[in-house]
Amino acid sequence: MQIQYRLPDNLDQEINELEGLIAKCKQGEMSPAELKLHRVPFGVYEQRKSDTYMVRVRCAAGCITPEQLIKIAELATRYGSDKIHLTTRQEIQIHYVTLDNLIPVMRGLKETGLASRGGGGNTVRNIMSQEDAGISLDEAFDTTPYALALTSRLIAESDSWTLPRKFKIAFSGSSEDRGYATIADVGFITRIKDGQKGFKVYVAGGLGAKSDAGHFLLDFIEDDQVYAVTTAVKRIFWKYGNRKNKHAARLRFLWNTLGPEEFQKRFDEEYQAVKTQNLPPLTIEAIDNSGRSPVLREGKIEDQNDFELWEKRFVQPQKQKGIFSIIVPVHLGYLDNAQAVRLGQFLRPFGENVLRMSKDQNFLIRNIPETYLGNVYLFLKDTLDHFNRPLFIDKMISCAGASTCQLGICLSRPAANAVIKALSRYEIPAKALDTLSDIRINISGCPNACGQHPIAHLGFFGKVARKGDKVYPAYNVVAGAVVRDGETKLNEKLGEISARDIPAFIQEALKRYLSKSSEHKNFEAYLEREGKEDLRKLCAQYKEIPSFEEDKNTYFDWDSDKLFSVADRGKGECSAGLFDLIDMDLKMIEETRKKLDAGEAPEKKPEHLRTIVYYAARALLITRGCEPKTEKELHENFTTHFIHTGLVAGRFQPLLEMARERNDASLCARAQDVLALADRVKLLYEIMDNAFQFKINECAALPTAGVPQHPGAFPSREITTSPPSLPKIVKDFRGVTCPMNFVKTKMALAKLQPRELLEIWLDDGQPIENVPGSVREEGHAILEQKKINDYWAVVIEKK
Amino acid sequence: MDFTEEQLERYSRHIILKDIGVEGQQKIVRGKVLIIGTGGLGAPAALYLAAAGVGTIGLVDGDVVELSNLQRQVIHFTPDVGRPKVLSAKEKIEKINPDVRVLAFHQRATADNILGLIKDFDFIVDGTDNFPAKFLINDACVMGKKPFSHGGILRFDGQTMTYVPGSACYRCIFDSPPPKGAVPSCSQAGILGAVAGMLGTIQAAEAVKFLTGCGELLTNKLLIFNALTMNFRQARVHRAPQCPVCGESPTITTLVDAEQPVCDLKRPPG
Repeated sequence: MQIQYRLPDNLDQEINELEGLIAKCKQGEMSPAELKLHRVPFGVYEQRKSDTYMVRVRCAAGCITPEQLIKIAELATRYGSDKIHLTTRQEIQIHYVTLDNLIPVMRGLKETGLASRGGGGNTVRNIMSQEDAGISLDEAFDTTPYALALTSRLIAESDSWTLPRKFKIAFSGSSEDRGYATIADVGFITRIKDGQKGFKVYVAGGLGAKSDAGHFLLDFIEDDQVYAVTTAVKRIFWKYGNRKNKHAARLRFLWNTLGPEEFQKRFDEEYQAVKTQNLPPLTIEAIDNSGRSPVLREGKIEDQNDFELWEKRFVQPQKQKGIFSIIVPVHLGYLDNAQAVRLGQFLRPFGENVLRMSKDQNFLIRNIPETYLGNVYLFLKDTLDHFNRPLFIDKMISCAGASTCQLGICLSRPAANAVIKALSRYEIPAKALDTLSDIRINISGCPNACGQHPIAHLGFFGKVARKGDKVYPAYNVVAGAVVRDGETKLNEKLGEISARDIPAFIQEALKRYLSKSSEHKNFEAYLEREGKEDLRKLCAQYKEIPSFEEDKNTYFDWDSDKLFSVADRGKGECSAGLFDLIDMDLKMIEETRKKLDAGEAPEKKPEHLRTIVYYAARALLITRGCEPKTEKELHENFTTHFIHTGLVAGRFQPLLEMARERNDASLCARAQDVLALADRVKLLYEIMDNAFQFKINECAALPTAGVPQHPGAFPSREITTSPPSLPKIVKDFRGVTCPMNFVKTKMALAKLQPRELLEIWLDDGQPIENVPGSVREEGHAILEQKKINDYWAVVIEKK
Repeated sequence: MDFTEEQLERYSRHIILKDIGVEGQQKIVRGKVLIIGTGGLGAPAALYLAAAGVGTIGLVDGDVVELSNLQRQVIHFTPDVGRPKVLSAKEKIEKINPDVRVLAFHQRATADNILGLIKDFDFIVDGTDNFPAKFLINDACVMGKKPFSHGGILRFDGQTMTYVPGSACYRCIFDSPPPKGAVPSCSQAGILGAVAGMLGTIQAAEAVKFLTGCGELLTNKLLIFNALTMNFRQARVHRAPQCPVCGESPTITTLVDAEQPVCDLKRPPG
């Protein structure tokens, strides 16, 4: 088959092995976590709904035959959900497959020449090529055969499955870079030099929580060097990539670590080594894009104007004379299985090479002779719900978002739907929208860029925002990206808006552009010259959001009937969204501190101190899944999660109450402690890892590294929460002032054996604020500290 | 051993210290320190050690209080002029801290008596004002295996080191006393009173550190300071294998009194 990659010889065996592992997991002989290590590289991801999985099918260069499409849709119907999903990397996903059905799906895929192997995990991922490769007017030559041949070769190599992180390869046929070669780990852009076919090569680009445009590596390689260059880069990655930290593992991090010269040097070494191996170059077979003329049932076009409009919107001439390509809009990449089957059946008579998936999650039909355009029109009109809307609407990209993705923050797909719905009311006339079809509007539910927001003309990525005590879904607004050979740049952040305001914001932004579009070549040029400034101002207009009491809608995400909350999110890369929130709280602390330091309006000092206590207590609670509704609850949560765990010294606890009770005099007297509390929280944040754990050892070592030291602010060791036995001795130090109470505590401790317990009773105020901290400083553990009427009982375990 | 309420309170600021604590204070209270010379260095040392609660303080000095002493020897007061220094000091110590037992030896430390004097003490403070005495104390402590703090002051300078058996001794660094007249004595050269206080206090701190075992002693280190510049520096010193008293083949095996240079002001010429 012309447009198919070759399945690895051992695929059957690998599927059998996975089957064995799944059986073991079901019998409890293997943990789900262990199984995950095996299933993810098979393109199988767990979904938000428990025990359901998504299977991602490799479709090199976005190629799929009508037969394959039908088969995938049938597999989805039988084992998954009623829709298939087209991805931004030209793959198809089957959703909601149960563990039991994974193997039947894989075997079914194999029957039709497809595999999910390498659909996920630290592997060579689907190799992309611009969807109009082989037919576009501006390309040097067809890149599809290269993407297919490279796929066949790489997926047969075992080291393609054991890379430090995912590895993405892309091909473009022209400097317009419609294959996104300039944002790939390895990107190839066609060039002809002295009559020789070849490629310009970019490396180490990629989108994610820390996106980066690709870096120029080679100006020209002859086309038989594609495999050698890829192998050299792959080997560098395999050898030197960071396997320890998956958040800094992509090739772009290695580029940044090594620097351009060192990377280039290592590449040259590896490239020379590969060359001396004389590996056979890829077998490139030209693909026929001539188009067939089957016998079809005739149809009748009733609305000639509608047909012409459709033609204008979706139909493009190919470089093959008299042959056309047609965009099939797929609503945010989701297509009913039944519609997919019908599409496959309709296209079957036109041959195998008739369909591609595009990176904007639509289909591109190709190789249709002009006389059949009417048939295609009638078929699509009959089959799709919205087959003739302005293309702009269906070019919009959104990731799956929090509806199915475990990492999501915002419900990006419902948000995109809301935008589509709003646009479909044609407040902006369809005619105007038709002039906007070159604009990329991309929405990601979190910073991870699955919705490709970093390369959007106008992009959004989800975040958590806060007003008062309430959190609400929001998006950062980014704009101004360019993807083109030699010009690629990621966009910049312009502001943020609530999720609720997305449809209005986008429409407003478009209107502004439309009012000035005559002055600019296109949207990209507009952004460059004045658009970003316009959008910044627009963001400012949407800055104010209604309070919860005024309008609750803002506090619900799109299509959600539950009040927005991040309590159940967290683990995983999207915690970046939470970091935003923490940063905001810490910023508030800093600003308040500046006011304090400035010393203006001394009467405001208590208020400032209360503010600092408030934000210090709140900042990290979100990492513990807490969203306290009241100040009291906030303080209780803080006590539970930070003071009782020993992460923050007990002597800070009274500050919470002083702030809450508006006990300004006491609070002012302990202003230094308030600042120390803030420092402590900041320190904890600094040493927090991506799983929200605190590295206590580092924490103990930190004070010498420039952080002001506050006695008792640093836990000396982890404490056990349940005392091993009852305290042997109880000492009543009520009425004993500082520091004699501490002296007597030490005296009492001196008589105990290590690990024995002592209970002391201390007065409220200074004694409870100081003694436990001092005791902890000496290396003893405070096991318990509770208030009894007007005094405190503290249980100490001798070190 | 339990502290009384009064003792707890008296020593509370020591007990609070993590490095001293209850256990450290108990060691201080059980400690015995001999101060040889109750002058510029011995006076502040004795005051601080008494205040700290050192259980037994021995004082060795054959002199009486002179008016010129009062400029720096802060344990003696004006009415004490003419009284034996050890008695004057004993009285003050007992006033500061009645818990301290004071043993007063109104005599010079000599080759004959020094081993007997140091025998029952844990730590010796050298507060003498002349080289022969300093070498005598050193030799006696090396032979008697007693730790001691050396101290020397002149004009605005001070130097001190601490010896514990096994570390470099005074003779490892300074082989023998300088020829008579080569180094002026305090009376000829003068001394800033506070310098004596500074150095004596450092010696007291070394004694307390030794008793409690906390911190790092000035062993194998010579601390030198100048009060005019307030530069403090430490010179690393090493045990000398050829040291005549603590070396591999010692030549000094018995104690002898070197000639005592007289303090000019104290004894009228002629």
